[in-house]
Amino acid sequence: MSGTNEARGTWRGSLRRLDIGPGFWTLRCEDGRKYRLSGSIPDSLEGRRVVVEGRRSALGFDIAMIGPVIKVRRIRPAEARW
Amino acid sequence: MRRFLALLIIALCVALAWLLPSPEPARPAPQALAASVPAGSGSIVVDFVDGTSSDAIEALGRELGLELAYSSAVSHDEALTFAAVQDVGRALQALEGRPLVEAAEPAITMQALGYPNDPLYEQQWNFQRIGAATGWRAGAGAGVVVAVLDTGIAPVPDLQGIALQQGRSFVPGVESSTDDMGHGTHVAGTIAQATNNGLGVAGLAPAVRLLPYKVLSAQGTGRQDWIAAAVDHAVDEGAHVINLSLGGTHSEVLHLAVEKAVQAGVVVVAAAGNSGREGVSCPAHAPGVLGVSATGPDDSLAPYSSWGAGVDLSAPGGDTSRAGGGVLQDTLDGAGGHQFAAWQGTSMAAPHVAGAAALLLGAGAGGPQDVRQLLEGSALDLGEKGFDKRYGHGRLDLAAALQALQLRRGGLLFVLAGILAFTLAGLGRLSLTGRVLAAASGALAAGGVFFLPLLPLDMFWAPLSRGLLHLPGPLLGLDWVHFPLWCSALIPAGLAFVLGPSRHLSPFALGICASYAVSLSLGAALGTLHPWFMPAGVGTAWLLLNSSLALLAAMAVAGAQKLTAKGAP
Repeated sequence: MSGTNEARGTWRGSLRRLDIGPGFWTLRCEDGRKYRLSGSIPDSLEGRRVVVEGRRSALGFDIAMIGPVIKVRRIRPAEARW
Repeated sequence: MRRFLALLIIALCVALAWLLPSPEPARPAPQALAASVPAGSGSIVVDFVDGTSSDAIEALGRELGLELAYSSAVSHDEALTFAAVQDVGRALQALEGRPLVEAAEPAITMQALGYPNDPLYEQQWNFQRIGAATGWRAGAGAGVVVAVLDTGIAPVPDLQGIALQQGRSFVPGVESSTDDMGHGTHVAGTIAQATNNGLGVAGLAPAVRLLPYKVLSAQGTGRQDWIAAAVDHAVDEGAHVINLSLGGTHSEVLHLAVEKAVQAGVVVVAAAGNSGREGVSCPAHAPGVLGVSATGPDDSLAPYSSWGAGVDLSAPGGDTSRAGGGVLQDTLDGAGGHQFAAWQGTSMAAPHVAGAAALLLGAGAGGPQDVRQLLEGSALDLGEKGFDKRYGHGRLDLAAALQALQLRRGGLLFVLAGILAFTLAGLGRLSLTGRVLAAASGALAAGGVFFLPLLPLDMFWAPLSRGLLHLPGPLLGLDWVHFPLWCSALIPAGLAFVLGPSRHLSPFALGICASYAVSLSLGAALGTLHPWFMPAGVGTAWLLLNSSLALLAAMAVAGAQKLTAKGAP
C-alpha cells in the first residue's frame, strides 16, 4: 500500500543537518522550497550544495514537519558527476 | 448562634479573599548586599540587573577575578550567576555598590523536599518552568488515558511501571506498536516518564495510561488515512487525550477525524510544525485541536517553530543552541539501547500540553472545552499583548491552570456546599456541633481539601484534593465519574435513608446530600459532567433533576432531625 504515487525526480539545493528531534537531513532548493531527506546520506556532504535523485514520498505526514519528504536514491556534490 | 454566624461569615470572607486573584505584588526594593559572611572559600550567587549582557557580566568577572557562570540555561534574562570563590566575604565586598549588581550572597544548598528523586530532574528546566510539581500533587493524571499517535512506544527503562494499554500499529506491514525509531518514546516520556523512581528523568503525568498507536514508519513518515484511522480507534478505545507530534499538508480526512474526536469529548493536541515560518501543519490548524508552538528556556519562540493561524498555545519545545536547553527524556539510542536524549522541536512541545490536559482532566476538568479554557486562560501571555499568532494565548502554565481549577472551582464547591449544609442543619435545629459537622462534611465532600496541591506533599495525597464525586477517577478510571448512577441522587438518598434518623450521624448524611446538590448543579452549569448514554440536553436535565433530589434528601434529613428535636423532652 505504501509508496504509491511517489514522484521520481532530481532536486538541487544546499544540504543541512537539522537538529530537530533525533535530527534530520534537509534540502533547501533554489526556489526556496524545503524538503526532508530520508535514506543514507554521508556526513561529509553537510553544508554543501548537492544534487539528489530520488522519489518524493507519498506519505505526507512526518515528525520533522518542515516540508515534503524525499527518499534519496543517490546524492552527490553539485560539482561532481555521478 | 449570632456570634457563630458572624464568625462563619468572617471565615467565608477570608476564604473568598484568598480565592480571588491576588494583585501583582509590589516589586521589592533591591536587597542590601550581605554585610558579614564567614570568611573562607565557598561559592556565591550574584543577581545582576535583569537584561545585563553576558559581555558586561564577563567584564566585571574579569575585573574582580571571578568566574561568573549563569546559574542555569533559563537564567540569562534574569542575569542570575554563580561563582566558586577563594574568599566568600572578600568577593561579596568587592561586588558591593556595583551598579549592575542587584544582590549577591553566599550560595546556600537548599534542603530538597526529595520529590521527585529522578537524578536528572534538575536538568528538566521545561517542567520546572511550567510548574510540574503542582501537577504531581494534583494526582498526576490518574484515571486518564492518553493516546500517543507516533512511531510507537518502546519499553525503555524509565518507562517501567507506567501503565500501557494494548497498542496497535496502523502502518501496513508492521505488526507491533513498539517504537522502532525513538520519536514516539521520547514524546511518551514527556507525558508519562516514570517519576520518583530514582532513575533518569520525570514525566508530566506519570499516573496516566498510555495508549501507543504506531502511525509512522521507522523513518517517521505516515499517511493521513493511517493517522485518521488511529484517531477514530483511540476514541473508541476510550482515550481522553490524543497527542499528535506530527504534521503535514492539509488533509480533509484527518480534519474530519480530529473534529469527530473533539466532539466525542477527547482533547486533541498537535504540534505546530518546525518550518520556522508562518504556516501551521495539519492537523494542528484543525478546529478544536490545540495547536502548540515551541518555546526555549528563555520563553522566546524557538527559532525552528512554525507559527500562525492554528497556534493556540506555546509550550517548552527546547532550544539546543543553548547549553542544557533541550527537552530531556528517555528514548532509543539507535544501537539497541536507550539514552536520555535532549531534543528540540514542536514535537517536544505538544506532549507538554497533552500531559497538562491529562492532569487537568484527572483533577476534575470536564472535557475539551473546559481544558481549553483552563489552559488558555492561565497561559503566560508572551509576545504581543493578548492572543497572537506566535504564542497563541501564551506559554503553558500548568501550575496556574491547576490553581484555577482547584482553588477557584474546588474552593467554590467547598464554600457553597458548606454554606448549604450549615443552613439546612440550622433549619433542622441541629446542635452547633452538628451544624459544624454538616458544614465540614458538605464542604469536604464537594470540594475536597482543594488547596492540597499547593502544599509540599507527594502524589499519594492527591485523591483527597478533590470532591467525592470525582473520587472514582483515580481509582476506577475517569469515565466512572460520569456513570449515570454515580452522578445521581442515589448515594445521597441512600445515606439520608440510612443515616438520616441517627442523631449523631445525620450531620454527615446532610453534608453529603448538600455536597451532591451543589456538585451536580455546578457540573450541569459548567458542562463538566457528562452522564453516559445521554445527549447533552438530557444529561443536563438528569443532573439538575438529581441535584434537586439530593437537595430534597438533605431537607428530609433536616426535617427528620427537627421533628426529633421537637419531640424530645
